[in-house]
Amino acid sequence: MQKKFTSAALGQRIGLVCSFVALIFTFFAFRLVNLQVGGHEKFSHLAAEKHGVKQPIAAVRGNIFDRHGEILAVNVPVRTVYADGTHIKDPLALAHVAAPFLGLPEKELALKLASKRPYVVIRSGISELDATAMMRALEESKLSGLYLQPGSERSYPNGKMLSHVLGFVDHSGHGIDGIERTFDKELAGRDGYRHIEHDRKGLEIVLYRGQEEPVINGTNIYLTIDMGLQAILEKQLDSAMETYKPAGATAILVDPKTGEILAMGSRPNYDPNHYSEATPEELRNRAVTDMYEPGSVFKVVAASGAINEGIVTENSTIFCEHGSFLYGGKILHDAHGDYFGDLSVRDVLVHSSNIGAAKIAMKMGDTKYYEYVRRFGFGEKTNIPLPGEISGLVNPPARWDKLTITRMAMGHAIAATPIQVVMEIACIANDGKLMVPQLIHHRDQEKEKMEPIVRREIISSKVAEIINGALIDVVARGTAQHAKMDGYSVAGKTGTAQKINTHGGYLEGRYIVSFAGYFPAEKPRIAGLVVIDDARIGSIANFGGLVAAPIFSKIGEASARYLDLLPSSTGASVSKENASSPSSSIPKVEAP
Amino acid sequence: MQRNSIYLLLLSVVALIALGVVMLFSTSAFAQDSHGDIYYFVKRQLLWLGIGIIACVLTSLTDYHWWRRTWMFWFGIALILLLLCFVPHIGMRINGSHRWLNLHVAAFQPSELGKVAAVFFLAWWFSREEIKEGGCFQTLVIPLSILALPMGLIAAEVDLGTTALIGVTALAMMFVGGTRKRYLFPILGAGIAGLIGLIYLIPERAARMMTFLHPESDKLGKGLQQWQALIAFGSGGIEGLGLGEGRQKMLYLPYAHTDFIFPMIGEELGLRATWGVIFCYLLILLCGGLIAANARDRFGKLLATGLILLVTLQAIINIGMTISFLPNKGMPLPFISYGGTNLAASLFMIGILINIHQRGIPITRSEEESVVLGGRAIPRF
Repeated sequence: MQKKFTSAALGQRIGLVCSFVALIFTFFAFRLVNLQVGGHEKFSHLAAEKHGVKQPIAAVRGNIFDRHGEILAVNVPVRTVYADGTHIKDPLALAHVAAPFLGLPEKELALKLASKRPYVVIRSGISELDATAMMRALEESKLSGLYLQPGSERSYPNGKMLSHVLGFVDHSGHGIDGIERTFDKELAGRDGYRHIEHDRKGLEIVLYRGQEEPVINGTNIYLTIDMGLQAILEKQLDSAMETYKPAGATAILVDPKTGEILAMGSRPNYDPNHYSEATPEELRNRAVTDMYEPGSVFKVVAASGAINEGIVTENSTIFCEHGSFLYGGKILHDAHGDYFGDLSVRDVLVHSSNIGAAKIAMKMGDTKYYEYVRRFGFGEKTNIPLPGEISGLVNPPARWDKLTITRMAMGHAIAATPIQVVMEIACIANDGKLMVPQLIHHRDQEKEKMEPIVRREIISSKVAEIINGALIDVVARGTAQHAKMDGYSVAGKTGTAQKINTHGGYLEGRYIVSFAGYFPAEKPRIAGLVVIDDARIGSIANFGGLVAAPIFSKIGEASARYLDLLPSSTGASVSKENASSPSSSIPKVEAP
Repeated sequence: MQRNSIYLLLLSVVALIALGVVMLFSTSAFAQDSHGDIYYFVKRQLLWLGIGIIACVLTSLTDYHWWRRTWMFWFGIALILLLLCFVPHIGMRINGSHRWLNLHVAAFQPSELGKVAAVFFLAWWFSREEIKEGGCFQTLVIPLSILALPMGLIAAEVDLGTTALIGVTALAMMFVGGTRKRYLFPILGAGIAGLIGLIYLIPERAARMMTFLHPESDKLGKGLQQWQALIAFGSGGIEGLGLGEGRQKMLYLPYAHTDFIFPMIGEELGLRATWGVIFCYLLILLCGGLIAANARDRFGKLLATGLILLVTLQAIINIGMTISFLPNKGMPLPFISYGGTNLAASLFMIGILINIHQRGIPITRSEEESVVLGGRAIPRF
């Protein structure tokens, strides 16, 4: 076997070795095909999964301002503090350092920190200042395990003021009530997102920033509310609550020419910053969600309707049966101590005669009268942009009995919301044009403010002028003399209605009293309504003219000063003098 | 053909170096220790490229028989330098390995000199006249014992890749040099048996060693780099994501500019480029084989064979590692990977090949006959 190793054999072996190495290279080439062609789909999917991330960009919720740009609702940056239990070595030491910043008892915190879970929310809504101070303290004491998550919280700097109109948002940022709810979509905007790729440390590879869906931030909304007027209104509501301890109270101020809501408040109310503590009673925006029997305020409907139809004139004589009118087997009374004989239509309003109003409505007939009730907006929603509005209760003539028309004329057997009533009175102040109530003054991107919308023209401006005169007289010499304002003439109508119990009957001695009016009477700038539900005073004094009218007067006077209105030329100071005498004694009272 | 083979070989080398520099631009900006200069690695690589080209020119002008006379000098130098790696302040300890010497300007890897010196030694040993009759002692035991010195030192540095490279090259050279198959096969058999025995005896350790076959089973541990390399290859596909568009270099693949540059080529340039790279190495292998076969004497043949095997087997170890066929042992891809000493050493070897080619047998036959590699095409002496 021992043969000499020749050069030829050497060359052969070189060839053999090289072929073997070449074979390995060929084998590798096929493995690469297998990887790069066969495995392409699988691996690109894996790579995309690993690198790509859809990063949401949260839209900033729009702010809410009043008509002058005062901030009503804003976003405040806050931090959520969470613990990563896997990083915590000494829960007690950590709790000791962190507790003062978090406002939590040390023991409770230590218990939470002892959890081994990687994500435990310790506390949300920590202010940026506190959060950074805490992190600095942790750094100094070389402790770790608590981390911050950025977020924002809705804040209502005015607290309880205007709470019912503004509403609030829940923890996840959805509008739950008020404007926050109605305009939730606009305020919320639209979250954007970004497809980003990141390296192994999780940092974004900016070079490969991918498709972006731009974030659309929420719209800033400017309300028609004037916070100056709102403050005046809320102050008076508070003092009314103090004085009368009623179950509830509502007041609304409207610009009669445009239908803009200038102020709106209800009691009891709540603080939207702490909405979870509010009771259902406090959460209710009585101005739109509650209905009540409006009482004599409603007499305006019959009078203006009948005059507008030409059935009566303002001077037509109505015989008021000396205070006791037998009709349909029942005796209808005028209010205590009033025994009117003949009254003009105008004086029926001025003295608030139940019998007179009933007779005017009867002259119109069921159908015609019902038509006017509906035309004034009762029984339908005003479409004010607030959640929970109800349409009130107006039965059609088919369901009336013989007495209904007489009851309805004086504002019973019908239920209306405060917003409906204030729009009714604003209609008289606006030459008979019923406006749509507006809350949005303008939005961010819009330069021009919202156009006023006329819902319908109910009565001619001439008739409105007549009713206006009558309503001026109501305040000047009728049932609402307490509504008089220093320097300004006021027009308006009081209302008193017994509370309804749960069984459909009336509660003895419990009243909902109101005053609806406007000023200055000759060139109305503000129309308003004050409703006091179940004022705790003796029933002898519990009338709209005695309870609600003075509140209206106070709101009106402050408002007029705030708005710098020109005082009325027609001897307003004289009317104030007149007012002082009846106000000292109990004035003529109106029909219940 | 064999006259032109050197040009084909040089063309391949230039193509691979060019691709390497381009890929270095793409990957090194994301490498961690770039000293804040995105061109840091490119600059250093170009510096070493210059040194390599000078070395290549010098060696190509040096008669290769000079290496036969001076092999002992290089072998000795290599051993001393390898020992110096373990001396503090002179040797550099990086990632737990003592592979580098600190030259202050640059780091130098003595193992690169060691592998060339080993090839010099073997080429000399088997080109001696007396070896032609040699038995087991002459052709197997003595050369292996001498080689054990540098290989042991390199293994002790924890550079198993280079140890394996020298070992396999040595076996191949011994085979070419005339060691009988019946002597070599037992060594191969013992190696395979040892591996199998290891798997049975220490299953846990063996399993860890074998992760390279299933990198997805240990994605975050030992298999991380190789798993990421597979993702790079796979997501590249045929077309590739485009130059500079690779994602895996973003810290997913820690050695994207050195040992794992091949997957980056696969990710950014696709299958066409990876095939191109393999084709270039095949060309280098075949041209080198032709040069070896046509070398004027026995020493030339053995030297050329050893040098060409050092280059191509290194490529195989690196590529095999990136496609999860071989364990991850840290080995640069010749001509492409960042790594100065290796680039300079590779060019140094190419220079010797040029010289061997120049002094090769003049072509007396028609070219067609000598094109095909194999017994028939080997020209006579």
